[in-house]
Amino acid sequence: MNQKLFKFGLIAPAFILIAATTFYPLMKSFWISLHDWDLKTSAEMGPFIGFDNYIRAFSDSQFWNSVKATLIFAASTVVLTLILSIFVAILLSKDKKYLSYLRAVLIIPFAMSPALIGYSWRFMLNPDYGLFDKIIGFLFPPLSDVVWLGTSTTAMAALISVVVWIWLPFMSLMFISGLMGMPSEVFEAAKMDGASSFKTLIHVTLPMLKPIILIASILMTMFTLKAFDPVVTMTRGGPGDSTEVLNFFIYKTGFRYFDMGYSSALGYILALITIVFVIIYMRKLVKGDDWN
Amino acid sequence: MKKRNPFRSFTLLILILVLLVSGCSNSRSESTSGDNLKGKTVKVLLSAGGIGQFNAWKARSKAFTEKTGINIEFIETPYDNLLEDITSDGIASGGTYDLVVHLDTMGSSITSFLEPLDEYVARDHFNTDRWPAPILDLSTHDGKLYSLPVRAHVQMLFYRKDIFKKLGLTAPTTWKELDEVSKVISDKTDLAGIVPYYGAGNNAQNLPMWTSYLWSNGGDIFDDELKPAFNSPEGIEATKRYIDLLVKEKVAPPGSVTFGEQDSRTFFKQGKAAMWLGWWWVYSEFNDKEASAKDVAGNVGFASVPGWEGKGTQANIATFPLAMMKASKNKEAAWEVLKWIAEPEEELDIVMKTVKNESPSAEQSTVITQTENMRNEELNELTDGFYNVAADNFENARALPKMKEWPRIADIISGAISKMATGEPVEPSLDDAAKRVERLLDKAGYYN
Repeated sequence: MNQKLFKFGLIAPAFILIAATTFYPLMKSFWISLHDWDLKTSAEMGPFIGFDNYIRAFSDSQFWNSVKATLIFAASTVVLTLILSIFVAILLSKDKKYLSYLRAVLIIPFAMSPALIGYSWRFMLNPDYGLFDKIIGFLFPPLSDVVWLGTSTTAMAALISVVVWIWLPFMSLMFISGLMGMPSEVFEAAKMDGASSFKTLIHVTLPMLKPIILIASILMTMFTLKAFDPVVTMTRGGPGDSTEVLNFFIYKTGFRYFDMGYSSALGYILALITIVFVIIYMRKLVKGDDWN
Repeated sequence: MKKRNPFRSFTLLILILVLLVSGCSNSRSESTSGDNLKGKTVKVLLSAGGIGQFNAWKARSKAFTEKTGINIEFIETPYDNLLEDITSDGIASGGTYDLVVHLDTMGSSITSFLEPLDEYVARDHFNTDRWPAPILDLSTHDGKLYSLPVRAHVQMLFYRKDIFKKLGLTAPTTWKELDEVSKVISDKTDLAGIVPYYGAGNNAQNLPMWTSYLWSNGGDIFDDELKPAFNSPEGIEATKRYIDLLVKEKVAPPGSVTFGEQDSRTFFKQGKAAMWLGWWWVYSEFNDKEASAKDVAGNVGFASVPGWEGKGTQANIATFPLAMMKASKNKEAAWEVLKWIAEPEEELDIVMKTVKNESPSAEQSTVITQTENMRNEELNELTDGFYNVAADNFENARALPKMKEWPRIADIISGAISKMATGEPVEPSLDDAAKRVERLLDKAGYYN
């Protein structure tokens, strides 16, 4: 009995810490989402309104616009990052000394602050003095007049490209470690059976990478659904509201309009969307003993 | 036994009462005495960005401290975080800041966290008439004065005197002339005629230039019943003209579709545009050799905001007032600091030293808010009448609406302008924005 109590005693500090920093804010924000709380008019929480804030979201055109922008942004970013990072991983996963240097250099974009990256790219995409804009204009003259952050399509494309650029190194390293840990016998057997490189990739490498693809997809989806820094620093949701992703919309509702109840409800909706995606991934990608 | 002297006892009683009354009476009047404020520290929240006027306050605060014993600690936060910082401290009643600067349009949202100043003003016979009425009005909410408008801006048109002289042009007085002049400059030089800022999401910085078109054409944001009126025929005509600088006339640089005010100012300072319309405080910056390109510095002239042909002109004003937090633990000391910052002599001296180039570059400011200072003869002689033009504009200028829902409304209209600048049609975009604004105000109970 005493030993049991001792165990609980050891766990208690961590439990209290997590309860105070995670459970309590989570519960509190859910409680706020059930109230009409306009911080502009009162520092005290307003009346209880049940799920009205959640219902309000579904009739709010701004909300649907941000859901659309979020889905386009997240889907494009996740797919592009995964494809490119697998490609980069295959190129860099050979056991050569010079490649180990390259692998170390690869992490640099990931090591930079996302806000700094956003501002830097905004600067580099400037149509008058932006470095990237000048390079594109030099390599592809018809694109020299494009104002990258000036139209809905190009602004979204620029945003996606930058987020892919941020996450590509980290994801590539995940795949590199997966590829380098694969048993060489399998590839030798495929070679002896006469499989081409492409067929080996499709029928051997990718199926064996499935667990890592699954984890990478889940992580990337979560990272992109909560993307905030690049949006604030690069497009600020514009032009118009074309790149106003859900997380940015939540920020505006909470910290610009001080509509705390609605903002909390939107936060929970975003969390639900993330959970739905995770469940879909689990169902589609996990088969049999892929986790083992 | 010795008999008590009744007169002595009565005198003693009165003395004790007097001491008690004076001891317990209004602690404010006691605390106003300089001695009690000595050693107090007043924390002032400013927006970051190397603003000359704020730097001048910082530099001069040492003399204030020597004189009064009150210390001032200036805390800077990025402009984008200003509202969040004030609100967070207001909700927590933390007393982190004693005085806070804020944009006038934020005022309605934060009055519950601010200390009304009327009592202090009345007690100290503080003269608020020193400011033009439109400026002071932006510090007043529900009939109460919540801040002192120690920083205020009026819109003006700035242009490159050297380019205009070379091409034989004069500063435009109407929007039509502005189009014509811009066209000549774009055709005959490498410069953009004018550099507007259509980008969304910068605290609606694309609105003031739009409203100067809108108001000068007789349009308005709301009608008398607070229904959106910016999609009226006048509103559509004004918006088209504003957007056409980029979309149709192409006298604005393509990048202006994404520009915030700062981006466009930088573009002008680099010498890539011949005109810029915006807040007057940039005048010193444009003509400063350390802040602008060689060709630009010393070559920037000013003019009133152009008007609609046959209808007149309508400039915008915006203030950046200084308010006292309700949760401040040093209200009396904070009030002393407020009064010091608002002293006409201090304001004039900062600007005089700037125009005479007697102050360091970082402390230079051309911002004057008080009527008497704006009409100061010496100052106007030194600046070719800049402040007389500004004073005229201040007295006739208008400001964006003061209402709690304004940040949300501003974002809707600002987003619509940003979209129209990418080529979206004007009328449907304005109609859509008007519907959204009306729904918002209806939900907020404005039409009940």
